[in-house]
Amino acid sequence: MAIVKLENVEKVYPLGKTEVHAVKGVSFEIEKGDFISIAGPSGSGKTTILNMIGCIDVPTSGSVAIDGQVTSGLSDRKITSLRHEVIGFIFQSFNLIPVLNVYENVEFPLLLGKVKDAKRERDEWIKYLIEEVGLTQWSRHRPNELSGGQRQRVAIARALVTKPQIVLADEPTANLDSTTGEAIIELMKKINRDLETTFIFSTHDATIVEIADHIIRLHDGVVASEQRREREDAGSH
Amino acid sequence: MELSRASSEGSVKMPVLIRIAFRNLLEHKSKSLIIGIIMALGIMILVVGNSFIDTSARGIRRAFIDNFTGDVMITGKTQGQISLFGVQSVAGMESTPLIPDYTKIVDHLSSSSNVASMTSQVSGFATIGTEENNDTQDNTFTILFGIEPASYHAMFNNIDLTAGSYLKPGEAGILLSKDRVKEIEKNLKTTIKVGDKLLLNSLSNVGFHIRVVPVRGIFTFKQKTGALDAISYVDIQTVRALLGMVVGDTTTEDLSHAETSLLGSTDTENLFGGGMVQEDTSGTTANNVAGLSHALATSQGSQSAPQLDSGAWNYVLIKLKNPGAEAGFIANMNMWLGQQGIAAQAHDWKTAADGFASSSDIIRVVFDVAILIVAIVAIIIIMNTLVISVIERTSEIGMMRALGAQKGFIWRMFVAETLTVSIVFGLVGIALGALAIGVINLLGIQISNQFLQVLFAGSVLKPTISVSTLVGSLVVVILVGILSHLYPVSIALKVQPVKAIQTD
Repeated sequence: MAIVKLENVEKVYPLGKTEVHAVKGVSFEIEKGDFISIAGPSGSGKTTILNMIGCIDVPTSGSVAIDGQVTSGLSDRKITSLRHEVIGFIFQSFNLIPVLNVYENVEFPLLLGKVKDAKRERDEWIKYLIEEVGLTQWSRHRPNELSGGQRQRVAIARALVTKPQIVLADEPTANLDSTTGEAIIELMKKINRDLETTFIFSTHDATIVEIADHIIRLHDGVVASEQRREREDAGSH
Repeated sequence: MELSRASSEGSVKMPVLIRIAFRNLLEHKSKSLIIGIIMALGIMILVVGNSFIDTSARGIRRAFIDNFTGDVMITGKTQGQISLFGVQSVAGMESTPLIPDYTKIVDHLSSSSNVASMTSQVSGFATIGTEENNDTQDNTFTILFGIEPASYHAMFNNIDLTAGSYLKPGEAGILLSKDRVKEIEKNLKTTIKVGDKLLLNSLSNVGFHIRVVPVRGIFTFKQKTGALDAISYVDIQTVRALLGMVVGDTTTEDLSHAETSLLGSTDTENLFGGGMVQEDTSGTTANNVAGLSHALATSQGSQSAPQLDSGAWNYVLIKLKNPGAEAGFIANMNMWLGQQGIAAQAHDWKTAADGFASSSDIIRVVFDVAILIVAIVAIIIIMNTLVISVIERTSEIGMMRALGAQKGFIWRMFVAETLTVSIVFGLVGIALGALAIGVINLLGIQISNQFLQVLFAGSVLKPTISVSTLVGSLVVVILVGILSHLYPVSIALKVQPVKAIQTD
């Protein structure tokens, strides 16, 4: 079953006395474990679609279903719960909490819900993720002491700490140099393979797009093309 | 997929909120300092001001309860407002009523377990002259307290005798304060000593009366009470006679020849039938007030006045064993009086003290109004600062909401920050206020103004801080903090996660 399903989704924004049709009838499905890139130039609707999948924006018409659950009509409390339980976010500008250190930033989403695991298990999981993103020796540093690439790694670890089914990354490499950007994408791919977490990221960087297994290209708010590639490690799962 | 409400409930551990709150305080030092200084200064003023007012209220309370009023005062019922100095009424004509069923009331009070002591009193006003000079222009004003000396001085140990002795039961006499003696000596250009005879002149609703009293003692008040230093203590019989009290006194009054002749000089049968001018048959030669006074003071008469009852009192004053139960005692007493059909009423010490006691209340009201205005201004300033803070943190708030923070979490985060600032700087303000009070005490500032001496119960400024002032100040600062954050947080909660992310 598709973990994400969009059916005829449209999004219209008011802009003064006019309207902007950001998304015009988009439909596609994303399978569990996908590593998918939503590509397109600026203004193509990538971020809008990502926001609707992430339940931080609602479609003007059409439906968005996350793991079989249609998101329109849900209350604010239920939508927030859905975001917390199912979805992880990696933002373009990292959006770390400036007064918390790396460890505390990664831990933060776990504190938003009822604590399920014992403190020791939580601690071990957080340290594992920090190690996975290569920041063990920086775990007590605050975001303003880290480079852009390091901050994005913290954001990745934070997005994964609640073991979400889906991780959304909006232009995760936009504020990074190309080398660092590629490294970040490779990291995301590794986690995708190891944890089978579905990664959906938006980008306009062509080299980054090609790393994805599933590519949806948008143009002027509609799907211009959709491309699937065999996963390199398909046989190993 | 399970959308368990429990698993995403905003049940964040307080430590992370407090951690974020404290670190944000330190991170945004300038904003925190603006808010903090406003709060700390405001609380310091509140602590110092309330300490002065509380000290004043306690001082006035003690000054009056210990020295003049007791905890409770019982009087006859009146139309106007009654105090230990008479009745205030619109026309100014209502006389102080006698206490009805006095013996019954006293018996009832004697059986009460909360009554520590009681005494009775009659109050009035008079001018003081001498036999040689009783000209009203030179006379000295005095407040008369007609007392039963044994019970009164046992209950109110408020004077130090500098000459003479206390009044003895049944003995006519007057105790004068040193201030009154000085005033009399200055006005009448004479010297006054124990044993001298003075004329007391009193005009009441029932007429003008003059009585001669010997000076039995001269005293100073242990605690200055401003205008009440004009009080003179007189034996009850003399005061009753001066005030023309015809119910309550059973002793025979010996009138002077002049007084007797004055009583008989009006022929009522000829009031409307004869000439209006009566022939003077008194045998006196006085043609002016001074001469008449002399005649009244020196002549001897044998005719008795109408019999007077022994229970003629205006006030019963009571000290309680448990002053904290004053309100309940008064309520019970009034209920009993009502049940017995007695036209009397119990009052608290403030009513007894009249306007003298309300000075600290007035100051407190003025101070509280000023503090309220300051608090409103502080709330507005703090609110504006917090609004700017919320706007600057819009993307942080949006990110938290995107990660799964419910609105309740955002609200709690801001409450934690506001409470942290309020409590931290509130405590700083309290500490500064306590320090200021300590310094004032150390300095031992002398008070020369009589009114201020009464207000602060002494000649040295010694304000004290009560626990209620400290707790109240902390409550005020927390309230100010919470009220200040309501509007900014409402802005934060309305921000949608998508807009917050887009603003960064």
